[in-house]
Amino acid sequence: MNKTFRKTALLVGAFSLLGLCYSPKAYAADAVQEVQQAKKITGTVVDASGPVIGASVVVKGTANGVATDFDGNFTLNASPGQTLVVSYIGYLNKEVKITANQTNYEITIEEDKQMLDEVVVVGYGTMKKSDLSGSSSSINEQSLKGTVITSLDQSLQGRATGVTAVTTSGAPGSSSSIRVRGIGSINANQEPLYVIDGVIVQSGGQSGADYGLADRLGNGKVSTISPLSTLNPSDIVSMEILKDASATAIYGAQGANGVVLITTKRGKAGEAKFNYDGMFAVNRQVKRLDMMNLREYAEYYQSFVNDGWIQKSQANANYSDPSILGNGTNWQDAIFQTALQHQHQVSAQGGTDKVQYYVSGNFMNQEGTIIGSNFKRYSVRANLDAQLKSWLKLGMSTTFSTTNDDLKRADGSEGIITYSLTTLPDMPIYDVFGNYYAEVREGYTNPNPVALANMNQYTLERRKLTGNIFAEVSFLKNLVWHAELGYDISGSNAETWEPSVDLGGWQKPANQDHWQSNTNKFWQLKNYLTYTGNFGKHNLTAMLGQECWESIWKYQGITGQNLPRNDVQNPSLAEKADKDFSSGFGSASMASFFTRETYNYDDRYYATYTFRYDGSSNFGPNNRWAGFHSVAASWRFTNEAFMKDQKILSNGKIRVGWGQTGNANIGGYKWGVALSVMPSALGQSYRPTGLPNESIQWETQEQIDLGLDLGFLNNRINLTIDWYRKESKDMLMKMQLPSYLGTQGNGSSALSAPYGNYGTMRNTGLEIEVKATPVQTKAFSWDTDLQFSFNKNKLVALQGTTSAAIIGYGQWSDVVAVSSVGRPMYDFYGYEVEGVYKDFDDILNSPVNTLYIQSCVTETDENGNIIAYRHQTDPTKYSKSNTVWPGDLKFKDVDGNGIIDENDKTNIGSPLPDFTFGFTNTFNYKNFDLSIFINGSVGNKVMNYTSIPLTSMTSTWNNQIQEKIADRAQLAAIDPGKVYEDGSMWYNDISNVYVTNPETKTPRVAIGNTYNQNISSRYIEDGSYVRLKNISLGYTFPKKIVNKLYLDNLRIYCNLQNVLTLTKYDGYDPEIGASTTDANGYVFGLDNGRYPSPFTCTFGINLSF
Amino acid sequence: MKKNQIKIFLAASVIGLGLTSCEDFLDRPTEDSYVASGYYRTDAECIAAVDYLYNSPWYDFQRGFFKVGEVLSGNYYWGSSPYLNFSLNSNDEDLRNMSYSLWAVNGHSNIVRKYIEGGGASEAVKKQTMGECLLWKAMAYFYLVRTFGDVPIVHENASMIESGTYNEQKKVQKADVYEYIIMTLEKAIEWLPEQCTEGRLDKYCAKALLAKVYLTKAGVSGSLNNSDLQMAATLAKDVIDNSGRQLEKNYADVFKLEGNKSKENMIAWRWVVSSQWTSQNTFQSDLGMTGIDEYGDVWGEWGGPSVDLQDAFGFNVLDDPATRPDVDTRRKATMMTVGDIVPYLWRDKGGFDYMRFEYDKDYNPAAWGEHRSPTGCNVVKHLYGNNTDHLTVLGTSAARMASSLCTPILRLSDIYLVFAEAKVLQGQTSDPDALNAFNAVRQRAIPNATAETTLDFDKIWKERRLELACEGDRWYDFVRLAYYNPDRAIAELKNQRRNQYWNLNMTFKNYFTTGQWLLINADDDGKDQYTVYDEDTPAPNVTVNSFTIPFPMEDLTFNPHLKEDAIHVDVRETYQY
Repeated sequence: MNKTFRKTALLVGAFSLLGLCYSPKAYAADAVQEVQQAKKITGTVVDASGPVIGASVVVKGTANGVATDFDGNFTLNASPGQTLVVSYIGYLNKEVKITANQTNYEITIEEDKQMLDEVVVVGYGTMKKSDLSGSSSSINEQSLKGTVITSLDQSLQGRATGVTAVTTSGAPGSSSSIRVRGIGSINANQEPLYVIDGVIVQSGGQSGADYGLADRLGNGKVSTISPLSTLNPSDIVSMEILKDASATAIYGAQGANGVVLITTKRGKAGEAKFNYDGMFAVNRQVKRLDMMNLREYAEYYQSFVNDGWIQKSQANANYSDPSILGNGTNWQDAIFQTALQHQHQVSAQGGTDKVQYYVSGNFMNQEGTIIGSNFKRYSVRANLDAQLKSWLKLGMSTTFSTTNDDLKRADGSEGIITYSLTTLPDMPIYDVFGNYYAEVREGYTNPNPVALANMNQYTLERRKLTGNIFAEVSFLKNLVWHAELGYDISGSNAETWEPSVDLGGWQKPANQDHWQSNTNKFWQLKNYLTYTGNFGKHNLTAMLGQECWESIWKYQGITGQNLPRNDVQNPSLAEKADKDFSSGFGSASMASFFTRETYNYDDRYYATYTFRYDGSSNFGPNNRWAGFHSVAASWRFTNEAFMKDQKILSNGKIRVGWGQTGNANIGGYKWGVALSVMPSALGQSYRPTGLPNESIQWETQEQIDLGLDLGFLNNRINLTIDWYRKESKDMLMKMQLPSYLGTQGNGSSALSAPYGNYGTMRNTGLEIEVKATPVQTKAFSWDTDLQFSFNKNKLVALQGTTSAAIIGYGQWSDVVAVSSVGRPMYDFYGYEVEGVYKDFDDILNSPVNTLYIQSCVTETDENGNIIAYRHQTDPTKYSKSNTVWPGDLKFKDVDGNGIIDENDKTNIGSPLPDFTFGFTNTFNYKNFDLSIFINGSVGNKVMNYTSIPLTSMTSTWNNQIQEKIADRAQLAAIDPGKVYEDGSMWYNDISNVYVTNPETKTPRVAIGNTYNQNISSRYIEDGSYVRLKNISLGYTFPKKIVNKLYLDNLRIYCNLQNVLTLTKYDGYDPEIGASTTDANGYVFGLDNGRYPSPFTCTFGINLSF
Repeated sequence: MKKNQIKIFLAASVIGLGLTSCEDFLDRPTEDSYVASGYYRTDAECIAAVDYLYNSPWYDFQRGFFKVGEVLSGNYYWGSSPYLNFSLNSNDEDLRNMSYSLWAVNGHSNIVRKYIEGGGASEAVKKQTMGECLLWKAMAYFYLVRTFGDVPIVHENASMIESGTYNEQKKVQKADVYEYIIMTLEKAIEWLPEQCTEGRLDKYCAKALLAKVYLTKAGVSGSLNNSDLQMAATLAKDVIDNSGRQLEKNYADVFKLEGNKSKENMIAWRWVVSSQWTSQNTFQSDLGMTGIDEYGDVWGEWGGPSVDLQDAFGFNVLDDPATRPDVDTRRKATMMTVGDIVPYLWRDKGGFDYMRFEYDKDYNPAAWGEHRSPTGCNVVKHLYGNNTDHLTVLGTSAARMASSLCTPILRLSDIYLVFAEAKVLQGQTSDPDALNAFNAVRQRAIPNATAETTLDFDKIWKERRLELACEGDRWYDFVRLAYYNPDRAIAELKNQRRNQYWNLNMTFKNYFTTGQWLLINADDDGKDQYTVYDEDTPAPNVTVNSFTIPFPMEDLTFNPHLKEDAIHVDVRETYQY
C-alpha cells in the first residue's frame, strides 16, 4: 500500500504531500471499512521541532488512514492489536502498536538521514533519489537558508560538487559565472540551463548592450547584470543540478552546460500559515590597495626630476619638499561606502485537501558599496494546486517581479575603480565652491571618480511575469498525461544619462540621454505521458513527450543629445537634429520529442535510457534536427544477499552512464548573411554584416560518468564519488581568422567572422563529497559536508587549421590570453620575467633585445631582409627613452635563439583552478544553530590587469601602488665623479648606470616607456584562496514563549558573509569570473578593476503564525 | 526503427499541439533587416550596396593614416609616440587598427562585388558599382604594400575560408602585389563610367590612382624602371587633360566643409554623422584643440606640425607674427599659430583666433591660459570647427567624435606632381607639360612665385611635401624614394628637426598680455628658462628596415608563414576579375 501511493506521488511531483493524493481515498474508504471492535483512537504526530502537519497515519494492511491536522492531531478508528504506520516525506516510517487500554498516542517521527527516498525533480517528472543512475546535486531549502543571497545563482557556490560559481562582480544583484563540470564550450554561452517549475528561464541578456546600455558597463559578453536577479530566491524550496549526460540528455540540445532545476514552494493542506522573513544587512569593502598618499607621491615625483625625466625648471614646485605635505585625498575611501540592505518577505500558505495555495510578496533594497549603485526588487508569487477529480489535477504557478538597478561602470580602464586608483592624491574631491574638482594636466584629464559615479546614471528597470499552468490526467491507474503551458513575459527599460559637464578642466558641453525598452515573449507547451508498472520485482517507468517553444523579442530606443538643461531627463527635449532612434525585432523557436525509460529490478539493478530529438530555428534547413541518446545503469550491491550480514555499509551503489547533449546557443541566422544599415555621405547604405556558413550545425557533447555512492553506519556517513569525461565536439564558435580576411576590428566596420563547428574540448574530472553527522545527541548535533571538485580542461583540436589559437583581449585589442590546442582554455600569454638588467654589461651579455629596435644592429641580406641582430655596442647610441636600459625587465629567451622578440611570448599561467572545494559545518545546540561555510579555489592564476597602470611608472599623472613602487629598480651612477665635457649627466650615460637593487623584478621609472608594460609574468599572480564565506548563527525561540506571542515559530539570526579570505593575491578580491571587457569572451580570471565582493553582516528575523 | 519512433512522436505531438508544420515553425531568418540572399536585385540596391565602401570600413584606419603618413615622416610632432622615434613594434594599437581596416576594405569590396555580380541590376550599374569595389580594393592594397611591404593576396574571402587555407597564406613579393593592384585598376578603368554623380568615383579616379601606383612601383626593383615611369606620365596626363576636373582657385577651399563638393578631391572618404558608429570622421578629436567643439571629444593640441615642416614652409613660430616671412598660402591652410585667424572655423565668432582661443577667456570661456603645442602650431586640415560651422555649411549637426567633413586621399594636384615627377625621373627636366603642371600647383599656392623653367627631383620632392602636408601621404613618398635610393631617404629623416620647443608659453603669453613680440631666448646655458628648440633628444635610428612596418602580432600568431620569405606569384595567371 505504502509503496503504491509513493509511486503515485512520484508522478505528481516532489512538492505534493503523500497524503494529498492518498487522503481523499482514505477518507472515502473510511466510511465503508468494517473494523472489528474498532474504537476511536486519537493522537499527535510530532518531530523534534513540534507538531507535524499532514503526516499520514494508516492502519497497517488496510486502506484506513488519515492525515494529521494543523496541530499534528489525528483521529481514526482502529482495533487493539492493529498497527499504526505514520509516514511523512523525508522522515522514517514509524509503527505503533495499538494496545487495549491506550486511546491517545503521541508519536514522534524522526528525519530520515538516509534521504534515500528523497524525491527529486529530474526534468519532465520526478524520481526517488535512490533510483537515480545519473549524477546530480541537490541544494535544499536548509542550505539556502544559511546564506544571504540576492540572486539565486550565487547560492550555487561551494554547495554542489562539479559546479564552479564565480561572481562576476560585487555589485548588488550581480551575476555569477556558473560552470557545470568545467568549461563545456568555446562559445561564449557556457551558462547552464535554468528551469523553474518546468519553465525555461529566459535570460533577457547578460551584457549591457542587450538592454540598450551600449558599452557603459563594458564591452564584454557578460556584464554585472544578472538575468537571474529578477527571481526571488526566498520562494525556492530546492535546486537540482543535473550534471552528467544521462541526467541532462532529457534536455537534449539545451543541456550541454548542465541543467539547474528549481522548485518553488507550494501550499500544504491546513489552516493558513503566515510567514514573515525580514533581514537587515550592512555591506562594506574592507580591503584597500596601498596607493601612494600625497607625501609618497611627492617623493615619487621627485625621483623623475632627479633621474632627468623632468627638467628642474619645469618641475612642479609643490612637490619639492614632501615632508610638509599631508596625506591628500584617499580616492578609494571616496568611492566606497558602507552600504545598507534590507529585505522583507511575507508569505501565506494553506488549503484544503483538494486545493492548496502558496502566496508571497517580497521586497528587497540593496545599496552597492560603490557610491550610487543600488538594486531593488519587488516580487509576488502565487502557486496553486487543485485536485479537481480523482483523476484530474490542476496546478499553476505565477510570479511577477520587477527590479530596479542603478548601475555603475566599476571595471575597465574607464571604470570608477580604476579611476579611483589612478587619480592623484593631490586633487581634492570638491573645489572651494563645493563643486566637483577637475583638472587637466599636460592633456591628461582624469575624470573625478566621485563625480563620475554620481553624475552619469545608468539605470535598468526590468519586469517579468512568468509561470505555468498544468493539468495531470490519470487515464489509468498507471498512466498519467501531463499537459503544461509555460510562459515568460518580460520587459525592460534602460536609460543612460550623461549630463553635460563643465568643471573647469573637465568639459563635456553636450549631454546625452538614451532610453531603450525591450519586450520579450516566450511560451512553451509540453505534453508527456508517464507509465509506471510494477511486475513482481520489476519496476518500470516509461515517459514519452513533446515540447515546443517560441521566443519573440522587440526593442526600441531613442536618443537625445544636447538637451538644453540637465535637470529633466527626456530625450524628446532635444532638438530634432539631435534625436535618433533605433528598433528591431526577432524570434527563435524549438520543437522537440523525447522519451525516457527507467527500470529497476528488486532495488538492486537500475537502468535508464533517454532520447531526445530537437529541431532549432538557429540552423539552416539541412541541419535543423538532431537526436541525443543516453543510457545509464547502476547496481546497489548492498541489497544483494551476500551483503546482508555486514553492518558497516548501509548503502552501496555503483553507477555508470554515457550520454549525448547538444548546444545550439549561438543566436539566430548564422547560416545566412543579414544586411545592416550604414549611412554614408553618398546615401544610406546596406552592408553585409559578415560571412555565412550554411553548413553550421549542432555542437554535440558526449559524457561518460562513473559513480560510487557509499553510506556507512546507517548512513551517518555518506560518500559520493563521481568521475567523468566530457567531450564537446563540433564546437560552435566564431572562426578565429587572421586580420587579412577583414574580420577583425570595429564590429560595425569589419566583416564578422562566420560561426562554425570547429573545436573539440575535453573536461575530465573527479567529484568527491563526504556528508556526515559526527555527533547526534538530543541536545546537540553536528552535520558536516565536505566537497571537492577537480576538473582538467583541454582544448583537444581546432579543425581546419594547423596553428589556430583562440585569442583573448584585455581592454581593447591587447592580447592577454591564448587558448591553444593541447592546453587548457584561457592560458595567459606573454613574456616571462627573469629579472631586470643590472647594468650595461648585463645587457650586452644577455640575449639581444629586439623589442627595443634601436638597441640592435641588424645585418641584412642583399634584399634588405634582416638576417641577424647584434647588440649595439656603442654606449652613445643608447638613450634612456627609446633603447633598453639598466632597470628594464629582462624577458626570458624562451626559444633560446639569442634574441628576445615576439616569439618569446609564451603561456604564463592558467586561470583554471586545480580544484575547488566547499566545507559546511552545521551545529545545533538546543535552540541555537550555527553554520560555518568555507570555500576555496586552488591552483588558479589571476592576471592583475588593473595593476598595469598602477605600477607603470611612466608618467607623473597616475597614482601608483606604493609597495610595488618602493620595490622598483633604483638607478645610480657607477662613477659619480665622472665628468662630462658636454654638460651631459650620468643618467644619460648607459655605461655609467647600474641598478642598486638588482634582485628586484619591478622595472625603473621611465616616462613614456611601453616596453615594461608588455604583458608578462609581472602581472600574473596566484589566485588561490580559502574564504570563510559564511557564518550564520540562529536562535529559535522555545515554543512556550512563542505560543504566548500567538506565534508558531520565531527565529532570529545573524549572518556574516565574506568574513575572511586567505590569499596571496594583491588585488581586492581573487574571485574573478568572466571578463566584462573582452568582447570575444575568451578571457577568464582577468582583474580589470572588478567590483569587489563586500563583507556583509546581516541580522534577520523569521516568524510564522 | 527510427522511422517508427518518429511516427510515434508525431502522433504524440498531434495529441498535444497539432502543429501544422514543424519546418515552418522553425524557419526563422533575420526578420528585422534585409538579408543578402534577397538583396542586390535593382540598380538602386546595388548603388546603396557600395556607398559604405566610401566610409565605414576605413574608419579604423584614421589614426594609422595620420601617424604613419605624417608622424613617421617627420611632418608632425606627437610626443612619446613610437611613430615619432621609430620604435614602432607589431603590438602598436594604431598599427593593428590600420591593418584591420585596410583588410576590411578589401574583404568588403570582394564580397559586395560578388553579390552584385550575381544580382539583378542593369549591366551599366553592375559595372559601375563593381568598378567602385575594385578601385577601393586597389586603394587598400596600395596602402598595404607601401606600409607592410610584402603582404598576402586575398582575392576572395569566402572561398579562402571555405577551403580552410587561410592560415597557410604566404606573403607575396611587393612587385607582384603592385602587379595585382595594376590589374585590379585596369579592370576598374574598364568598368567605371567616364563621369559620375558628385563624390562618386569615375574612370579618371582609377586612372589617377594607377598613375601614382606606376610611379611608386617604378623603383620597387631597386632601380627606376622607365616604362613604369612612362605609364605613370601617360595616365597622369590623361587625367589632367580629360578628367574634366580643375584645381580649386584657393588652396584652402579644398579642406573646409565646403570642400566636400570640390572636384579636386578625386578619391575621398565620404564620412557622415549618424547613429551608426564608423560612418563618421573623427580626425578633429585627435588633431584639434580641446574645446574647439561642443562635444568634449577633442584632445589633439599636445601635438602639432613639426618644426621641420615649418622650416620647409620657410616659416618660424619664433618670429614676430607681424613681420614673419609667410608667403605660401598653404601654410595657413595646414597649420595655425599665434597671430593666425582661420576664417572658416568658428564662423559664429568671426573666425578661429588661435591666440585668443588659448588665452582670452572673453573669446573662449574655456581658454586654458597657456600654450600647449610643443611645436607652436596646431593643424588646420581635418578640422571642421564647432557645431555651428557644421550646421551652417552642411545643414546637419556634428556629434561626439563625429563630423561629415570628407577626407581627400587623392587630389588632382597630387596627380599634377606625379606627372612632373614621372617626367623628371625619366630625365625630362624641362618638359613643358611637366613645367605647366608643376607651376600650376606652385603658383596657386604662392601667387607671386616665379614660374620654374627647369625641374629637378628636389623641387618636386619639396613641393609634394608642402602641397600635401598633413594629408597622410608624406611617409609613402619616403617609401617610394627608399625603394631605389634608401640612403637619401634615411639621411633626410635623420636630419629632420623632429623635436619640440621648450617654454613657448613664455613668449606667446607675453605677446598676448603685452601685445609686444619678445622672444624670450638666450644662450644655451639657460635653456630651462627660455624659449628654445630641444637639441638634446637624439635623432631616431632610421635604417633600411624602417620602411617596412611590421605585421600585427596576432596575425603572426595565427599564421607563422607570415614570418617566412615572400613568394613570387604570377598574379595575372592566378587571379581574374
